[in-house]
Amino acid sequence: MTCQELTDFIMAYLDRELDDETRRSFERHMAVCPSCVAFVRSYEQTVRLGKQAFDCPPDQPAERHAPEDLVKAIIEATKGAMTPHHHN
Amino acid sequence: MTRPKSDPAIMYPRARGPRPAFVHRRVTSRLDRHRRPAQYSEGLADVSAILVGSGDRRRRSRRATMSPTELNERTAPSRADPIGVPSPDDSSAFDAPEFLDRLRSADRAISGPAFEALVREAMPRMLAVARKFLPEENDACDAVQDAFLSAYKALASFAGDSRLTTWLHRITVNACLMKLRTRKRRPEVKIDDLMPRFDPTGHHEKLPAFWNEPPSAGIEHGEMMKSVRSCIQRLPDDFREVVIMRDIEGIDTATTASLLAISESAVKTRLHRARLALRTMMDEHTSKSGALMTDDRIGGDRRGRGASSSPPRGASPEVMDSPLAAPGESPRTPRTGVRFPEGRTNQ
Repeated sequence: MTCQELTDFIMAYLDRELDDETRRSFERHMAVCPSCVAFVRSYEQTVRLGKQAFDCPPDQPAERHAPEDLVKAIIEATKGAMTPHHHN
Repeated sequence: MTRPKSDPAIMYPRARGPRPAFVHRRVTSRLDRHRRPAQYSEGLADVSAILVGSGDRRRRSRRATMSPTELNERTAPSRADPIGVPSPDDSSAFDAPEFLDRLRSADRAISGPAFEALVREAMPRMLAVARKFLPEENDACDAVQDAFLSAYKALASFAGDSRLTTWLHRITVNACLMKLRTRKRRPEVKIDDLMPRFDPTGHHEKLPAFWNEPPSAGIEHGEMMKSVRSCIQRLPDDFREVVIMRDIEGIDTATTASLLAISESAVKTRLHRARLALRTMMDEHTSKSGALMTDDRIGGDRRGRGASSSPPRGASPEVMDSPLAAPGESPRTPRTGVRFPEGRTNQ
């Protein structure tokens, strides 16, 4: 397995979706290739940083309150929309 | 109306005859600045029907079929007020059957206050979701408004087998996807330009560096998160939306595939390429700022060709801690950690 081939398999490896033979080949390559260790590790960090990037402190005011003009716009718009009916 | 073969199912599954259009009126000038009339199908019979996309000038429509996925469950205790409108900090009460009955009431004196309470409760989270897809505030507000109107019209068909907030989340994501399809296209980087490069023998052209663990708090952390958001926003839309749905919003692969009307394997391919592209951008960004990068690029003449038996800096020879591992999780947990096999074997 080359570095290029390993790169194609990173996500499947992390998701444990590789078949045994490919997984072993992946791990054999990782055991001897510092470049790919660094690459895979930075791939994992990328995913983790992406998950964190939009986290907001729970007490952030902008995330707790609905903009009043948008609320009013929506309420107003529903008056011209079809009224929800009971289906039961 | 003839459906083009290339657009399988402009899927209005239960609609018959020409697709009716509903152009809703909007009342604030600020919100009107960048908007186009939105179309909705009417007479929808179930939740999936309101998730049908329209107005895709590029290529596709989409349909959500799905069994509901619980997203970001809240567990606040139920405390409805005397008139049956839950307090703003009590999201679970919005799932109470009594509240749903109020929402669906044909009597506006009953359904109006209930719906307004729902809007006030759910909007902050829906706006936060929309802003991830649509960095322009007007676009995000448009999408949220569209989502609420779609939800309002489909309330009668809400089966109640998922949480109301989960249902709204799905509708919001779909509204954002529709907005992405109809807004003016922005210049995009080519994803291929952000893929890692390899020499003819399959080795890295540019030797990867280990990244430092990013700061976990403070100004530096905030700056780091800002730069990560910037990188995500630079991704082409097709890839950005998959990253947001899968990695950030935690929507599963099957649901993402359904919402995007692509195969699950296509979702996985896009997600992997998007992550690789993000890694490239973050690598470039941080190598300039030094925010993440160590100065210890692998190698010199080793060039990562598997010639070295010594472990790289930052990785244990036996096991590498997974940066994705949960706090306290064993680094040997195979789920995310890259584990060196015991007894190294040269290839």
